[in-house]
Amino acid sequence: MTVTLRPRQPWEAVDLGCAMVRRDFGRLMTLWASTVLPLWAVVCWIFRDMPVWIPLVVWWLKPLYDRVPLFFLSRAAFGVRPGFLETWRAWPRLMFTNFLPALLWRRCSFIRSFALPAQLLEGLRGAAANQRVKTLAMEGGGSGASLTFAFSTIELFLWLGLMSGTYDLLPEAATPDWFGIFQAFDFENTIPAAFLWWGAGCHMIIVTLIEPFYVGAGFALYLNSRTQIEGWDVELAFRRMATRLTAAAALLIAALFVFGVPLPAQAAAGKDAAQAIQEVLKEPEFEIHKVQTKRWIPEFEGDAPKANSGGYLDAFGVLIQALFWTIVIGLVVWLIVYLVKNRHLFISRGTSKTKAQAPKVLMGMNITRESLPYDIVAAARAAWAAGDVKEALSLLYRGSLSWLVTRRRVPITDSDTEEDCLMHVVVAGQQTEADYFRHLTGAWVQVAYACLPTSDAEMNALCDQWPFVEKGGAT
Amino acid sequence: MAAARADTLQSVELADGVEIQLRVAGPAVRSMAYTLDLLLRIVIYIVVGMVAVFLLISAIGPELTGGLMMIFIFLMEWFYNVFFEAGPRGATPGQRRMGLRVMSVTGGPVSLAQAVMRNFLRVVDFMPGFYLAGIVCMLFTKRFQRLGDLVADTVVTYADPPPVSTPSVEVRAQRRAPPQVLTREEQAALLQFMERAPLWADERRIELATLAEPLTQAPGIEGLRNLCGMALWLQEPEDKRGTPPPLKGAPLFRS
Repeated sequence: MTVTLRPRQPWEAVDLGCAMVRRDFGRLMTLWASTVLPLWAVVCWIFRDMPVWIPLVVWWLKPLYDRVPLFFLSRAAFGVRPGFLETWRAWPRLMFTNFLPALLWRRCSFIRSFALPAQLLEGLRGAAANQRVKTLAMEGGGSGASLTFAFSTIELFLWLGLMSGTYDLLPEAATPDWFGIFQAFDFENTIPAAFLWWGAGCHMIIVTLIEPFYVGAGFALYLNSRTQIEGWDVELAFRRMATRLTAAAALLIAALFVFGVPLPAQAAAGKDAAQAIQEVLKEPEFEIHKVQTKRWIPEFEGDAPKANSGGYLDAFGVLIQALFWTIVIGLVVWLIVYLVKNRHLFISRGTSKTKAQAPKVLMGMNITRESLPYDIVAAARAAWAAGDVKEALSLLYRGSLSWLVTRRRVPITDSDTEEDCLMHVVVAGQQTEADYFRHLTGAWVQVAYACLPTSDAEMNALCDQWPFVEKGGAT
Repeated sequence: MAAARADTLQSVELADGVEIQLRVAGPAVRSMAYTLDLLLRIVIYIVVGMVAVFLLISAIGPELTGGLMMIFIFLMEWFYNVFFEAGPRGATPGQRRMGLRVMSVTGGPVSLAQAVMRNFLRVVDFMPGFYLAGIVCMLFTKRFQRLGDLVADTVVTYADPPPVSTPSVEVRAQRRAPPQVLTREEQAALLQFMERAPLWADERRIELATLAEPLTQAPGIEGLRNLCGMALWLQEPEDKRGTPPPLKGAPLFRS
């Protein structure tokens, strides 16, 4: 027995069938190819003018194909795998046993693969066979139907899958013009024959793949049914035990009479042990793994490239090398220039202060000389006369900041506030300018942030005292 | 017996040397579970779509409804399986209906990462169309794993323990040691016989017992009695209380 029998849930029995088929799939395929493919060749030849019917006929004849895998599996289950010749000799008998009912009224039976072993292997006929199938179907008949449903679904969708997967690979001449076909609504004559042949071929591939599993699953379900109803697993075990015990008794008697002769049982046992050891050693745990690392080392001094390269290639190589070194040197020079240019970023702060550029924007105000009018005081007075207090003070404030930053080099930076500016100016040490700037800052902050008005007198004073004038000229 | 015995139990050796057996589920039952899940998702889409049409469109307008609906379908298609398989039951509703669950190969529950991996790889298993790659891969791997399972190191197994339909009955038979040494397989067969005998007809029991005549040394009902006695002895070699105790799962023995 090469199958573990025990009462199983129906779907588990189906899985057992799949496992049986998977184990022998290669052998099954050779048998399938040698028996079923000729039949398909005949079918294709008969329907060579109407390929659209081929999938249907192939589907209809399925009960005939089922018999070969079943024949194989039923013998393989007992450890005897039938070979080519044996299968070929049995084939006509297998094919023609009950083939009319199988193709006619039993074709649409939902428990086809479940009932087939009872019909084919048990050698019953007619009413007795029907009765037998009915008995077995009490345990597992429903599962037989679910099995058929499951496998026909799988088959259908795998067929669609294979077709959709290979459709894009078809030559354009073979793919039908679907739009035209639906417009003409004439499916029979407008679909190209090559496309139909391709569809039939895909169907045959999928049937070849799936049908053995379907048969195997039905056979396993049949075995499970017999196991549950009749205790078939127990029966087989008892038969084996009986054979062993009677053989042992016979041997014992023989041994009593023939002394000094090594018992065949012992020899057999020794052989078995050696075989068992071999089998254990074959298991994956005893596999010896080797890790081999290959490293590719480019051979600069190999002879082959040199033999190939002429003077032309050499010159090209020199050129490329020169280009490479030019780029490297260029990069180094650029890096040095860049570092020198931006050395203030890397050198300590004390020296950087003297080089710091005067800020152009302070507190959101542009304080470049270019952004201010030529005569700031006059412009401020004009704005004042026009009633724009804020503009007037802003002109004065910006003007004074501009002067302080650019001429007096007061170290004001971008992030300074009004208070900070004032502090810097005081620290810079020009008494009159500092006093004036303090006065102006007070007025400006009040106008800008508190919206407090400035008096005419104060404004006049600010304008009159404007200290930021170059000697000998107005600014 | 050159080839390994075909079985649905797949043993896995864990890192600490313990061997566990997984009742892996094959492509047929899994495709049924998938079909159920697919139908369930379609029903959900129809219901949610109708709610959206009747309630949401008037409230938030067709464009926004369409967008929300597409986000919903995206989440369902990509995370339906992940959500259920990483959950406490380790099974989608369809899988639960078919009595399946997803496990790590080590027998533990799947982690979120494994669930994400095995389900995002459905895209690969789907190729070139309708799960062709996945099903072929499942048919030809020992543990019925599709590509996503192989990558995430997961298996789909049967969730419920195997059904025990044996009634608990008392056995009246004399406990006795078998006259010969039995192999493990034969011992297992004897115990199986005693456990499952109540499910069979009397004639069948006697028929089976007769097959074991070289062991029981008696035909018919006498052989059956001897066989049950030996099975009892195998279950519990020593009679501790003097009288045979009623055994759970022992067959009804009428004589």
